[in-house]
Amino acid sequence: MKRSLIAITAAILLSLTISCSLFTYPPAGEFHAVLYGLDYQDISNKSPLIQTVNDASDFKQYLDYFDYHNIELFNGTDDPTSPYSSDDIFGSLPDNTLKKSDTFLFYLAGHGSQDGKIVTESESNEVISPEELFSELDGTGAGTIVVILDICYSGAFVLDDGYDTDGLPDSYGDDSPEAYQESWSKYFDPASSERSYPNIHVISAAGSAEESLEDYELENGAFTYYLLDALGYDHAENTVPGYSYPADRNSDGYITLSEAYKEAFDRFQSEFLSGIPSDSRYYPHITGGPGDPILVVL
Amino acid sequence: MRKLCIVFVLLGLSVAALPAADFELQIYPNSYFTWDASYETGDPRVQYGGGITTGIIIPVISPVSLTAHIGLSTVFPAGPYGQMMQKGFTSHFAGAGFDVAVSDIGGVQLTARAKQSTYYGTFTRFTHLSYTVTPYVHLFSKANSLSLSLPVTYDRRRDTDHAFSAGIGLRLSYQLGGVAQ
Repeated sequence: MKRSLIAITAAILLSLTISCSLFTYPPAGEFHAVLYGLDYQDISNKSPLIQTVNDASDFKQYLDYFDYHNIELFNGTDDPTSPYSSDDIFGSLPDNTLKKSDTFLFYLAGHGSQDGKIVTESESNEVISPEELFSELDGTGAGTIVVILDICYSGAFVLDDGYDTDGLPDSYGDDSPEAYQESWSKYFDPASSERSYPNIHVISAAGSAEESLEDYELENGAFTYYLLDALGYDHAENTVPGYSYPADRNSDGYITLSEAYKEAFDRFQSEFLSGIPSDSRYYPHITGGPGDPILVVL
Repeated sequence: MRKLCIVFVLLGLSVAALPAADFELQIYPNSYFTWDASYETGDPRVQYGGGITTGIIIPVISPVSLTAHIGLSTVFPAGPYGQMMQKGFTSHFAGAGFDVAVSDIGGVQLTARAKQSTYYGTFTRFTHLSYTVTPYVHLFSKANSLSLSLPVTYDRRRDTDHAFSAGIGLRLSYQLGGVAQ
């Protein structure tokens, strides 16, 4: 009796082991990207930004090295007389032309408003809310959408409605009991269980109550600098050397969004945040959920 | 983590004071399967993981005992599944349930657990309940026995439609005092 039970157990173990490799399949879709660096030059009611143009350009340089298709770069300096409005930004997105198997990356560096919206370059104080942006991105047709925002108050775009709780509070706390309490109350609240955009994954440079900074020495937005650093971009040479990718933390040949986030977070925290006053510190956030989009295939 | 280790130690010490209670330690590797309507294919996403639990078993009415335990578990990242990997996560949990000694050969445990999990590399948490059935068969003597166990768990998560795990574990139950029933 015992022997047969042990034999059955061994058979189950073997089949479970084999099953792990049965269902995986490599990325088959294309990678697309639209990148914005808004600098607000010559716009009377907005303070200009200097490094956002570098941010978007450097990001494009990085993606160019990999298998990204149709990388569209929109920089504030390209045409200073024609500032980017929300119509321009939405108009530059693919109109349901991408496939379900594709990944679409949207990057924007610029200003954010205190109520958690992207500030466009329009003179009419036009802003883009998370709901407006996500609705437009959803219309691209891509099955996987990645949003990276280096703007103030961008944590508002990291929705923690639905299935999980962002344990990194806006005012950074260490393992706060409130986050535990919040996650349990959500679990038993059906109203908070809807997943608004489960296919949209966001990294924000700052929390929803925090300002993000650009740095003159780094010549980038501080978070973008360390994100690109983590991804394997050489800032000194403005190239991708192609031999070192710190964000590929498990060396499996794929850099995922959470790997990039973690590596960038650690570098940002140890190399940048430690050097600025505590009341100016801000912390990058990431969307939850069980899926982890592949950003780059090495 | 430090707090959890202290809880483990205190639980072990407190059990020593209970008459006729068994201390139980279980360690298991497992495979973790998830299904969600949003997946590109209908196939499950499969991850490896494992865990450790410790707790007490208090006899109530033969052959039924009450169990209470705490534990740690982890599920490693896996993939690729097309453009996505499946995130790994770590959990700590507490649970309670019943242990039914079916015969001298072994028995079955039925437990419910409250889990608090955090995705690897992030600060993002999710909480969930889970339900575990663990048949076990004694490898040596019944008292102070080492058993082979087959924990099968259904995780009632909200971030995915269905998730269950199946594993094979070693379970040590150590009789601490009183009279075996």
